Amino acid sequence: MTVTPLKLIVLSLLITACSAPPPAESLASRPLVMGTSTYPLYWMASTLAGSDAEVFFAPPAEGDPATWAPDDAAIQRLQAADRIVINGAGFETWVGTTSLPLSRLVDTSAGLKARLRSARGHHHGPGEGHALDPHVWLDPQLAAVQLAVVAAQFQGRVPDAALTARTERLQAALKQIETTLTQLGSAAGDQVLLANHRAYDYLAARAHLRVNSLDVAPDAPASAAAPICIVARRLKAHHMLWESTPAPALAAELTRCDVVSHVLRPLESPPPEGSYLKAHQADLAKLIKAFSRP
Amino acid sequence: MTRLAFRLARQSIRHARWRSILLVLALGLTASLPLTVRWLVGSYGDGLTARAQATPLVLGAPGHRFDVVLAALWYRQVKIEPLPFAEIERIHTDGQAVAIPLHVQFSARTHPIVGTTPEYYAHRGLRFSAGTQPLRIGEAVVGATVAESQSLDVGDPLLTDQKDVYNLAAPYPLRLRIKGILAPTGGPDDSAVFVDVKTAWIIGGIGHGHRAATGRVESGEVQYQEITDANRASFHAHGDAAGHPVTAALVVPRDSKARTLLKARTNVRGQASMVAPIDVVEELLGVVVQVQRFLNANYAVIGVSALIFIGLIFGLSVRMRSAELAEYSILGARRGFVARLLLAEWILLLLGAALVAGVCTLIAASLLPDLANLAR
Repeated sequence: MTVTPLKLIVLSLLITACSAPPPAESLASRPLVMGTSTYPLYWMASTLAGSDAEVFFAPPAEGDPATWAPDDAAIQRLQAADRIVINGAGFETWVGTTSLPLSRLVDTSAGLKARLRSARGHHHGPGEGHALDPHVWLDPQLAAVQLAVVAAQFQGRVPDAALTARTERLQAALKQIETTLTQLGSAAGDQVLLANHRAYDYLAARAHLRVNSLDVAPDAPASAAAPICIVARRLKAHHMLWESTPAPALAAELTRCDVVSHVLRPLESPPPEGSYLKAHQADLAKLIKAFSRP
Repeated sequence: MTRLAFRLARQSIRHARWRSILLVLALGLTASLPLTVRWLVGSYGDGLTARAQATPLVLGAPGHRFDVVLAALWYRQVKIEPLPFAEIERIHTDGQAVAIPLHVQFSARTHPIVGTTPEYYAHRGLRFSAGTQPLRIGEAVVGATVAESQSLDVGDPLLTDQKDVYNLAAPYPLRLRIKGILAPTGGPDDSAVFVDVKTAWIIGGIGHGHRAATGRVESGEVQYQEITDANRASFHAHGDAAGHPVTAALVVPRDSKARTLLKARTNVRGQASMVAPIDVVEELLGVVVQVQRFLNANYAVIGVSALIFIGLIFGLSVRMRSAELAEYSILGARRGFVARLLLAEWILLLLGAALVAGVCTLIAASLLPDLANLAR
């Protein structure tokens, strides 16, 4: 076999092609790994990612992400992630006690400082994380801002067309929730609602609801109903919102003083069934139905 | 004939052994001094340059570029204006670079405590011989030298040093828990203790716990605070994190364009100063080179004096041995044999002096402090 100059050129080109370093975009072509701290953020991020990136919900599915204390394995998983997307506004108290790569930590409510609502409790001064109500996502307009922050993390890592389409789909879903909240506001009218915990300030502001927040655990004993009834009588309130199903004895006791219990989950953790949109819409629909009864 | 000259020269040196030993030592030590200085400056220059080249940019308070670079790269504890954490957040928001905070103000058993974030270990390519990087506040990683010299292992406690013993308002030392041990690097990381930057703020009293565990060491003289699983959640910092202090930050830009833009924008703003460590180190080495030139001139004078001294000794030696050297002619030695004999003697003496100079240089190199200690 004779080696012609043309064969030599082709051979050298082949060798060069095989031994050349990977192109610069090879890193970007590796799927982005993103950890999320609340279920609404997980819902947004996983929808935006599709199959183009890996998104995980960092806290265990059961339990309260707000009081979660991550174990070694969970922290190491977060430290290895390309992005750690948190709700901020003081929701994730564990962030202050965990060693995290700050350049990869994305606070989705950092741009909402002027619109955050203060919460009662432990106060030290302005700018304190735990002095704010962290349930930002319950206002769909604020959730849309969080969505934009999450979507920005996928730029260059998810195809542009797909990212735009998925973002628009989520924006439409948030708009749908906003419409439902308007209906809820109309159905509730001027009546005062009680809430077992200060979790609905953003939702109430968006839906124009009058919510008076208490501090009662859903698993409190029936005896906890007495002070609630006193407040209900004073405010002429007949409905109470609970973050999770109240203890049957407590709910029964409240019914006796003409206070009906309703579950409106903030959905910090994944619901047993359906997505954030479906679960939240279902809760809101039940409330509208309850308020619409004569 | 030459072989005979060297044999006789050996015998002559052995005969006058004390004179020969003194001569070899005097010449060897005179030669070792410039050799040691040259080797030392070269070695430190290489070490400083390599560390500086591995660090693209350093961010610090304006007006302290030497101190900032020494603190950021060699953990030298310096009294400079702190850099507000907001400057690091600004870089992250900009998205052009990764900024790695460095808080270098405290020590544990005299080793510097470096408060940083997980990005640091990846940036320096640090590996762990045991355990992991800190996962929570109150946890520490120690360098290989610290672990060896202090006999520390994963899980051991390590008390921070009380910075100001006369300040009654100063926070108690913090009892750290060792989470990992770094593999040896041959650099300043070996002699440092690493914690999360939030832990450094707690040591400085910016953060605290409402249920902080306190205790006393066995001697009963030092009271300390400790972060445990039971009280960790109660620890928090006061005020906005943007105002918390750090000593400096390592800045790793995305590309050369980002590097140029970032450096220019930061320095024009004037709130912080961004420098390339290699520029600062070359400036420092420039001063060292000037000093070395002065020393070289000094050594040249010493060398000339030594040569005059050798010539004097040679002349005196020939005069003292004139009777002995005349006997070689009487014994029938050829003309020029005496000159060869004396040359052989001096060759052997100079070889001995070169050996002494080499050994002295090696001893000095092994005994002198390492680069990290010098920079601190």
